[in-house]
Amino acid sequence: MSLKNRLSELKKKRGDLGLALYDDHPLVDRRDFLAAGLIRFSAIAAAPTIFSLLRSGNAFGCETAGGGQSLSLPAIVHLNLAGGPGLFQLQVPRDAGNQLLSSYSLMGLGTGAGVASSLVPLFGRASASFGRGYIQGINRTDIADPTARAAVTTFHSASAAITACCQLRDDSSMNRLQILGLLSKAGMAGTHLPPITTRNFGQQPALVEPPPALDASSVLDIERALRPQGALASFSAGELGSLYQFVKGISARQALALERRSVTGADKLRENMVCAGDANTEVANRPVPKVNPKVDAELAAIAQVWGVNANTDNGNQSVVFSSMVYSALMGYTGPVQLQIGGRDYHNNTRTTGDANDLADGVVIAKILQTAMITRKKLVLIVTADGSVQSPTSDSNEAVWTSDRGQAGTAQILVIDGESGQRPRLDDRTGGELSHQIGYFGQGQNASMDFIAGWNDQKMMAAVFANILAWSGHANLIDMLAPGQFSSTDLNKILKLGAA
Amino acid sequence: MMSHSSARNYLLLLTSVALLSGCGLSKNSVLLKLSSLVGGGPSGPGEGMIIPAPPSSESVVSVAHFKQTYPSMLALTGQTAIPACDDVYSQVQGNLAKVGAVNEISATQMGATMSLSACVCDGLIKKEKLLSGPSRIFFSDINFTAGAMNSSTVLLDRSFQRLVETFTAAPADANDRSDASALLSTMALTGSLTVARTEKALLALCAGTLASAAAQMQ
Repeated sequence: MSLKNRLSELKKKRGDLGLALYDDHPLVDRRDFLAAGLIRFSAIAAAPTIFSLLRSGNAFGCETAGGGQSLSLPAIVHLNLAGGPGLFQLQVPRDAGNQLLSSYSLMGLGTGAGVASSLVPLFGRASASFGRGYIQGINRTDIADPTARAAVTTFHSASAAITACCQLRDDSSMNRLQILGLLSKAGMAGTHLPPITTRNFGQQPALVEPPPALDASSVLDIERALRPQGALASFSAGELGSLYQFVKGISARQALALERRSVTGADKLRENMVCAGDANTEVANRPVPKVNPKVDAELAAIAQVWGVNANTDNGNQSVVFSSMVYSALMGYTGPVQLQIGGRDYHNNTRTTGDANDLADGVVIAKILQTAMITRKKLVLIVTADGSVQSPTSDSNEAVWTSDRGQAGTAQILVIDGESGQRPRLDDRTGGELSHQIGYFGQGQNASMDFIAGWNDQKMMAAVFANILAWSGHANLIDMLAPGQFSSTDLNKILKLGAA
Repeated sequence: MMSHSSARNYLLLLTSVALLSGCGLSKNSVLLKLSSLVGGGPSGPGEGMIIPAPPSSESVVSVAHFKQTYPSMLALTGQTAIPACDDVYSQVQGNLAKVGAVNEISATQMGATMSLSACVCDGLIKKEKLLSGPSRIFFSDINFTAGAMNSSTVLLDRSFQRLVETFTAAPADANDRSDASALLSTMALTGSLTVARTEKALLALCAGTLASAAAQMQ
C-alpha cells in the first residue's frame, strides 16, 4: 500500500472512531510506533539480555541507584592505558622465586644484572627500572622547583605498589579487566551518582557484568547528573522528592501488573523503579555536592594539583579526571574508570614511549595526591591492552618496535591518605613476592601457570580480593567471587592485609 | 477465552488507540468505545492493564533506551521537535538507558528521563495554553489566565486522568489518583496560588506520568 493510501485509510479510520488530532501532528500507525519503540504493554519477546544472565540473583538496582554503599571499601580508580604501553617498567616483574630474570632483552630493559644495578625506589621498594618515564612522572620531575615538587608528592610515604602478571591481548578491547561489576556486587555505590566512566572505556568485564555507568566526556556531564535539568531545575527539594515518589508509585504499579501476567523481568523492573525513586528522593534532600574543580572553591587545592582553572576547557582531561577522582574519593560516586588513549607507541624510538610514560606517571601522581589532600584511602588500578617489545638487546635504551602482550601486567597502587601511613604488604608465603601477583618466566613472558585457570579476569578477581582484604573483608572473597580461589590460591594472591 | 489471533488484533487496535489518543483523544472515553467493539476492556480497578499478555513464555520486559525515549515522549504528547528539549536531550542522553535492559534503571537514568519529560511537558503546556479550552486535548478544564488551584483539584485530577489514559492506554486507578493528589498537595504548599503555580502543578503531573510511561517500554 502506498504511503498516500495508508494515510488516507488512517484518516478514515480516525474519523470513524471519533478521534481528533492536532492539525500539526503527523499521522502515525503501529509500524511507526514499533519503529520508535513506542508500543507499550506488548511484552517484547526476546532472549534474556546479558544483564539478566550475568546478574541473576543479584539485586543491582538498589546498589547502583545512588544510595551509598553498604560495605566499607576504599575509593577505586581504574586507569586504562589504551594501546598497550610498557607498563612493566613501573615495577620490573620477577620470577617465581622473587628473583630478577637473567635477561629482559625483549622488554627494552637489557640484562638482568643491568636492571639490578639500576633499580630505583618506588614507594619504599627498589622495584622500578632506572627512573625513566613512569617513575619520573610519579616523582613529578616535570616540576622544576623542588619546593613545589615536594608539595605535590606527599603521597609517596603513604603509598604501596603491587604488580600483577598476566598475558594480555594486544590492541584489543577484549581483555577482561573491568572490575566494576565485582565492586558493585560488593555493594560499592556512590551517595549521589552511579559509577562514572570516560567514554569508550576499552575493557571487558571481569566475571560480573558492570552496572550502568555515567559516561563523562566533560565535567558538565557529571554536574548535570547531580541535579535536574530544564524545567525541573526550578523545583524545590520537597517538590522534587514528591515528584519522584509519585513516579515511583505509578511505575511500580504498572510493573506489578506485568508481574501478574508473568512477564519475565517485571519483578526486577518494579524493584529497580522503587529503588530509583527512593534513591532520587533521598538525593533530592541532600545538598548537591561540588565536583567542578574549575569553579568550586572547595576544590581549590584539587584544581592546583591538576593545573586547572576557570578557563580550562570543560572537556579537558585534567578537569574530567580530577572531578571523577574527587567524586570517587568523597563517595559521591562508586568506582570510576579513566582511559588515556594513544599508547600504542612502538614507533622504533624510545623517546615517544618515554614521553607518554612520563605523562601517564604524572596522572598517576595527581590521582594519588588527590587522595592525600582529601585524606582518603584509594586503590588505583592501572591496566593496558597488551604490552610492547624491543628488538633483542642488552641495552636498556632499546627502541620499541612492536606489541607483545606476553609481557602484560597490571599495576595496583594503594594509598592510605587517611592515616598517611604506607599500607602494609602482607605476604602469606613467607616474605617473598610481597609486591607481585603471578610471575614471569625466563622467556620474559607472564606465566599462565601461576594458579589453576590463571587468566586476565582471574587476575582482576585477585585485585578485587586484595581490595576486600585491605578493607577487612577477606572473608567475603569466596562469596563475591565464588569458586575463583582455593585457600592455597589465596595465600598466593593476597598481598594486602587489613588496614 | 480470546484466541491468539484475536488477542493480537486487540493488542494492535488498542495500542493504536492509546497512541492516537495521545494525539487527540476527545473528552469522551474512546477506550470504552473500543472496548465494546472488541468485547473486552479494563480488567477492573487497580489492574491498570487492558492489553492481554501475548501467549509466550519468552516475554521479557525491556525499557526505552536513549534513542527511543525522546521520540516516544514527543509522540505521546502529540508534538514534533522542541528546540529547547533537543538541548536537554543532548545534555542527558548519556544518562538514559543504553540498550534498554531492565537493570539499566537507576536513579540517574530516571532523573535524566524526568528532566526530558519535564521539558516535553513544558512544551505541551505552552502549546495548549494558546488554544481555547475546548480545543485542548489534555488541559481543557484548566483556566490558564485566572490562575491556580482555582481550577480546583477536581479539574486537575481530570487532567491527570486524561494524561494517564493517553500515555498508558489504561485508566488511572485509585492509587494513581491518590498519589497525584499527594503530589498536588506538595506543589500547592509553597508559594501563592498563581497561574505559575498552576502550571507548575500541571508540569509535575505531566512530567511524572510521561516519564513513567516513556521509560517503561514493555
